[in-house]
Amino acid sequence: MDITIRRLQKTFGASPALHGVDLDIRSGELIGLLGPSGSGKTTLLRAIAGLERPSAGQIFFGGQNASMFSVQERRVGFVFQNYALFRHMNVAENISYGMRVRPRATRPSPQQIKQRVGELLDLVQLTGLEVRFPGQLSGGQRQRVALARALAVDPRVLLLDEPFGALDARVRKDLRVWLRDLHKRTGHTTIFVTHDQDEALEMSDRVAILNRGALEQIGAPDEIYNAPATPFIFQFIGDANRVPLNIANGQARLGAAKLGRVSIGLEGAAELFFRPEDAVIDEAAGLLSGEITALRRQGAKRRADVRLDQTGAMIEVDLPYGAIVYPSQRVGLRLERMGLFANGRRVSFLDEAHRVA
Amino acid sequence: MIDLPLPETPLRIQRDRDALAEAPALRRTLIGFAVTVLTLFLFLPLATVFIEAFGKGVAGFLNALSDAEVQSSIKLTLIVATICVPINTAFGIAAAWAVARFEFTGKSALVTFIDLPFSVSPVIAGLCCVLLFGARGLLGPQLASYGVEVIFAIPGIVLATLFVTFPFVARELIPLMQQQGSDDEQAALTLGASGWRMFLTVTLPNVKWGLLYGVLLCNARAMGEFGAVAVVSGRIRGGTSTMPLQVEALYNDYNMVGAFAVASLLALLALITLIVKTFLEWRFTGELALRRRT
Repeated sequence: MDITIRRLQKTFGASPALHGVDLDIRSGELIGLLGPSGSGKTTLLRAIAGLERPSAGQIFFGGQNASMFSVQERRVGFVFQNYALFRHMNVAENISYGMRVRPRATRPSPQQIKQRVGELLDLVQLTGLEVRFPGQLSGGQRQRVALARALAVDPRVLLLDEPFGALDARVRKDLRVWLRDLHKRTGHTTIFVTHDQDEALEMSDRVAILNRGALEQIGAPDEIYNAPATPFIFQFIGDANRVPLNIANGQARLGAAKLGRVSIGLEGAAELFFRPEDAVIDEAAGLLSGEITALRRQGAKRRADVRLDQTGAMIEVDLPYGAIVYPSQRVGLRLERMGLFANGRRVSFLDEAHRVA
Repeated sequence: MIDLPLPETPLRIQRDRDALAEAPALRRTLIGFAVTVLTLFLFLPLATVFIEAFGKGVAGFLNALSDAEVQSSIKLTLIVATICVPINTAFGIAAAWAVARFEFTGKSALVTFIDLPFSVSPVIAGLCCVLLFGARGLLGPQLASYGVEVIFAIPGIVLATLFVTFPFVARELIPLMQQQGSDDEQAALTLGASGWRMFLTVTLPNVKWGLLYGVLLCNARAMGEFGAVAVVSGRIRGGTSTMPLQVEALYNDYNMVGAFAVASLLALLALITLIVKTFLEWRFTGELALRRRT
């Protein structure tokens, strides 16, 4: 089911949690809502479920205005962060709850319910655990029961609030792959909330990034990573170096070094962002140079801290395998990719010379 | 590696007990003191009640209980409890629901008011009842003109008991429901359950042990209340005398067996309540953990 969100606002008392969010979700998509805590991502998810009443704006479920429907009528599958399993019901009773509470006219027969529970248990790989109680299950198993319970109502959209938040790192990684695979098989339109960028980038068809109640960018993971739309995203996703610089007469300058031409009219302070892996130590590079101040190992990567000669800014640079460098060494730098931002907006270079070499 | 010289003699272990435990002598004194106090002020009186009740044998005990006035007091007490406990259970659930699930102005005031009966002397509660519904009270004459008697009648006793037992269920449920949060209930709603259905299948089962506990306490108090009932009932023997009032009346008549026979019934109720309560606490520690009256 397509989900369309228009100018959605939500205010709690005096503080706005969402202001004017527009979002189009296509049927069958797996969307990750990513943002720091307090960015409004959970509020948005709850508004879609009907658990939160928006202060303004609309949500459409395939063309129908969802505000006409109560929570019960929306038929969403909501998986809570702590799963919210009914502790006095066993696994089978939990999963069948949504079928059993239907009005008599549309309620499946006990045999149908039993069969459907069996199918769902099979789907989430928990066959044989029908009569266990939630207290007797591991975190990962509870999560899958919660998922099966949400799928049992044949939801128009599946909503997951921090689906892996309460699990340990190992289980988390396994479940990510598993959930991605489950989505491929069932094809439910799915929206999940997370504050973990790796999770969002790895699982989502598209990632929507929220910051302070507003949608900053939505796009495929590669698009988000390679072309962040705002300085916030550049720093929030992956690692980024931020170097303040100046634009004068349509020329972006880092100290004395000319970076490239931009449209006339953008004058004054601006910010240059680039990732540590996009800065390459290259003795032939003439424009940027610096001095290595420290070397570090971060998991698979080796990093150097470099003080730029041009502005004195400290930046981080990834080193290729086997690179022989030492502290206080002087190096030339080449930037493979970068983003220039003025007034919080991305600015494009007019010439190709910006591939700083 | 550097070889550190070992101390000549191993560090002498100073004490053969936990660093935080008391000295054995002190411990024994404290325990002894507690046991003595408990024996003197709890076990002995309780034992006395049963010994006195059976002072003239089982026949005397049964005879005392078969007295018409006593029978009437037992009946009245049961009627009062049967009315008060369900009403206060319903109120307690509603109040706990409101306090735990919603934010509204006056919420803290409501919580304070729920506690009021704990802080007000029951006699004052009874007096308020008389002032409101008595022959010269605010509402009394009006009601009397419709033929409704409140004071010196069952309605007055019920009102006074309701007031005194007001907080028990609510106080038990509020912290429990606040701690549990509303995720389970919201999950039930997203799965299509109606509000009522959600209440019956999720909310109630989640608080059932706390609720039962509150109802038990409420019932014990409803049957045992003396002060407030004494003021409003007029203590008409065989008419508006509840069990606790009957105990006092019989005692004043020097009818020891009768007084203690009725008293033993009340004490038995208290014991059963305690046993069930202990069982619930033992069995459902987690679910009952978060409550404690001030």
